[in-house]
Amino acid sequence: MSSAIANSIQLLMEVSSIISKVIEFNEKVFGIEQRNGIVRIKIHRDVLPYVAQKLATTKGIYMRTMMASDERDLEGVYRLYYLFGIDREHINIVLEVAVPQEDPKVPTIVDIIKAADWYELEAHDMLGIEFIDRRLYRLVLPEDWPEKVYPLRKEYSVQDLMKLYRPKAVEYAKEIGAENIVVIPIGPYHPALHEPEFFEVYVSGERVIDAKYVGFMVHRGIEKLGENMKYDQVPFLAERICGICGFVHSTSYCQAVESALNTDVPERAQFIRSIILEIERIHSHLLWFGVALHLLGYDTGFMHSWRIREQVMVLAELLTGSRKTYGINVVGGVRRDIDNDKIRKAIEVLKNVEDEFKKLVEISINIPQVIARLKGTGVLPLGEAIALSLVGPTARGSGLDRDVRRDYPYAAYRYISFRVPTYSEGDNLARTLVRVDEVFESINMLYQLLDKVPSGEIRVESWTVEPYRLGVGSVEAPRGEVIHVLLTGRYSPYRWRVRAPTYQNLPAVSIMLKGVDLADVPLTIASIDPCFSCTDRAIVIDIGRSVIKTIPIEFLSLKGSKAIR
Amino acid sequence: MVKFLKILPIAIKTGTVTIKYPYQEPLITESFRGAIEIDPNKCVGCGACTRICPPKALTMTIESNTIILKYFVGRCIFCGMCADTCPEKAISITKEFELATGNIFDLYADVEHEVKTCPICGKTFITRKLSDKIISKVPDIPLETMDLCPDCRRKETLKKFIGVPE
Amino acid sequence: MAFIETISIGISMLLYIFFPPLLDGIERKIKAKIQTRYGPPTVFQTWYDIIKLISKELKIPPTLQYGVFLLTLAFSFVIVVLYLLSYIPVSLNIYMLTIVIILIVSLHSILAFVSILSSNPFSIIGIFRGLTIDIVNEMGFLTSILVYYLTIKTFNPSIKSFLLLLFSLLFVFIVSYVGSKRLPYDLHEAEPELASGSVIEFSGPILALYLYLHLIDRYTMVALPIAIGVAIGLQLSPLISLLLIHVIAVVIYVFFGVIAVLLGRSRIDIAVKTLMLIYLIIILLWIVVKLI
Repeated sequence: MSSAIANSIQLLMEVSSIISKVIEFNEKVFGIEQRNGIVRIKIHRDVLPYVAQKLATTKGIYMRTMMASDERDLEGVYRLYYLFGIDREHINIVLEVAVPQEDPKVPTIVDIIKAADWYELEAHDMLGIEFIDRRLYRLVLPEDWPEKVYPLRKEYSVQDLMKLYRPKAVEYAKEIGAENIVVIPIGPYHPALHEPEFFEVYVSGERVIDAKYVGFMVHRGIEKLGENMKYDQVPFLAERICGICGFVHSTSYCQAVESALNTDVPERAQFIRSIILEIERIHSHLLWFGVALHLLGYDTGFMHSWRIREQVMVLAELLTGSRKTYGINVVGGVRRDIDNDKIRKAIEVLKNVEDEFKKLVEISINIPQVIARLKGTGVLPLGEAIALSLVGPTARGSGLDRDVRRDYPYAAYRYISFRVPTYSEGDNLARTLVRVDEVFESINMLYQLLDKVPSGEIRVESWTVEPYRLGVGSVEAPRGEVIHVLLTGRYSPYRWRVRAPTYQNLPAVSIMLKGVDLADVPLTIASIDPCFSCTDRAIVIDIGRSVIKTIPIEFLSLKGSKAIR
Repeated sequence: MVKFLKILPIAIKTGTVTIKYPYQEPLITESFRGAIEIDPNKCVGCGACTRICPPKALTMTIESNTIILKYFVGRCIFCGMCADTCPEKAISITKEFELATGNIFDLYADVEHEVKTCPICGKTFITRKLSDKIISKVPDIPLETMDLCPDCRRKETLKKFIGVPE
Repeated sequence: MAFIETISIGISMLLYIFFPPLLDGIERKIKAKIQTRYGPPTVFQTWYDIIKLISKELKIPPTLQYGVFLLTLAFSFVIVVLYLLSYIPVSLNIYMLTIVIILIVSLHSILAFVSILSSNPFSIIGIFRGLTIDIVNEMGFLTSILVYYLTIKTFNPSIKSFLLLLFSLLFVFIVSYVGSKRLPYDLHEAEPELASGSVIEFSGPILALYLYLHLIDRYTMVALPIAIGVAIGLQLSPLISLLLIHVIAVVIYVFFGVIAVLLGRSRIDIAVKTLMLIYLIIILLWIVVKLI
């Protein structure tokens, strides 16, 4: 009880200090309100850079995400929500900037906050908002997307957009008379995780001089799709944002709705969510560990890591009914309960996993080649990590102590004690060790969670929707923090913004890659545990877009046989 | 220095973990959710499942004088929301997941329902079973208007109370 | 006498031709067991692979037109090497050994040359990595055989001699391990997704021929020092020494296979440094012991 009071006092102090910071722009600040740990400050667009500057120069404040939303039906404006977090105080600060529809221009804050770069470009692509004094180019939309069509504007329905877009490949196929021929997309791919993405790596000899990322190739339009689905259907869509850590997205979405609508989730449901989240973290880290060892050529370690992981997958199926995409999250709780029998089995499996993984880590970290190639490669200094607002194990490997589970407690994490492992070296070894430590920490947390599960309901059966309320849900995914920002609508979300951790972490890869040997490039890219499909979730195309160049196979083989002759 | 040798005893102790799957029992637990099964006798064709289904694997179509509840396994994500929602408990979750087939029609399962036609305007509306269910569940329901479509029913009820302006 | 010699040479050559893919199959099985998998259905899987590849259509990429000629040349070299290797137990002298070494080195350079013919910028990266290792290792190969030959020729039962034998055996087998292009030194095919090696350019019968040559090369690199040792050191009858050579070679080959499963992949700069260091240390130790 006392800690709750202390927290609220701290919160009030923090809020007042922020108000005093913006008071000098009094006439440009329209209102400040505070609810559920979210401080909303409405400001005029002219003062945005000054306020952002104030926030960015304060220690411990970082930009978490930015949501651009089309609110012309409501107030005739576009609105930008800049979300800042204060780790120590568990508060989110939301700067709300209204952008008039007749003149959609906003001053840029990229020169102040590096992390804002992609958010601004995405808002430009999706809603046509102009950012003044910076170079704007297409980041998210494909190059053959029609001009002046902004997919997230409310006048376009999903069906309209699918009709509007005709990939260049189709035109090209017509040109060479290959309309009825199957098009086989070749490249781009990820060197390690086999996802569509593309790095241009400039090398001199075997040493990397520079690296450029070209991404956003698997646009699935999930945010737009979510705007047409009912509240209880969206968790299943959200879960499919990521193929490895889907549960974090559905939890994050549900939390965003619950925070917007002030829904009280039963404690038992909170515990079950935490349990599944930690199981997901263990399987994800074991997967990553295996992939990393595979990239280091130690395939035996890869096989054994995945063998150990298999027990966790089966356990997840026992608890939820599905190996992956567990499908038990709904707004207001969970759909599947756990009983004592399952808890006993879970502890049995976890003991086994802990034991086996300890042995495997000890063996594989001591393989001479593994240690030689992990240590000192792909270094990311702490300064860069702070400047780019990095999250998750990538940040913690560089000594940036940031963990949503501790900083913005959600689900059942406030009832248990745990350690956040950090390493200061910033190299691939540090990031590996952070993940290894986290596996053991997660197992430890699971023992506590499984021991303390309270009895009671697992789901609030009825809840009422109030439109146009802002909700934020953040979850510490295995890769870093996931944030869902949500504006409620009457039957489905009015605007739903997803920020996956890789979106924040990817810009760091080019820094890590500089000076690395070519052979270590795949490992270094993989060391942020990238999830490209999550990052690319934003847009509207569902057709074969994972393509940089599509060549009809007929044409390809023609060319090939000509060359041979 | 020779720690890497320690994987050998582990490998020997573990043996082979690969399962000769198609020839061996698949590894699924008791809580596994697979494809769903609709009991045509219990189903009344209310359509609650089609409204909750996230991937729209369950759809309802009206064809001349039948309402067809179509289940397409190809879209199903095995979430089981339909089974949770079904008021008649007509949908059960099976453990079936080996659904690959060479014939796409094997992926469809249909439940056909006889549909009610409005004797006045000739429009089709709900299924006969749903109508019967409502009659049996709701006491004192005016039986004489149950055969009419919602529009005609409204008109008829109004006629009864305030008379018909000719 | 001549009859038994001819028979033993014939059997030995057959074994040299038949064993390498079979041993590769055994290696794959062992690898699978250590990785808790089933692995290939039988130990003959590599043989089946090669036979299947040979039965595929022949496609010769324009850059590889001369490569095919070189591969056939390499194949005839291999036959000669196998014959000479089989002849070693019958009689061995320094001139024959020199010819064997020259043939093996030229075989390696032909195989390297075939890969260099590729114009694919991605496989070039892997090829040059492989070449770098080859250059270091080829020097090691020449020195190691020389050191080994000297040690065995001057062998007498004393601690000094045993030490020298130990060092030279270590040297010669490290060289043959690295030459077999197993982990951690399989850098020429290291990251197939990022920078591939030479194999990516081959298909069908050419790939089969290349693989077969590579496997035979692996086996001969193991068998050569054993053959020299058995021929000079033990002086047995041709048939027995032939059997002994193959038994020991098989054991060592399988041992190599196990080691390869237990290690990770090195990086080109680390690999060159480590190899240079290991070879220098062994040579220095050998010289020091020799001079004492």
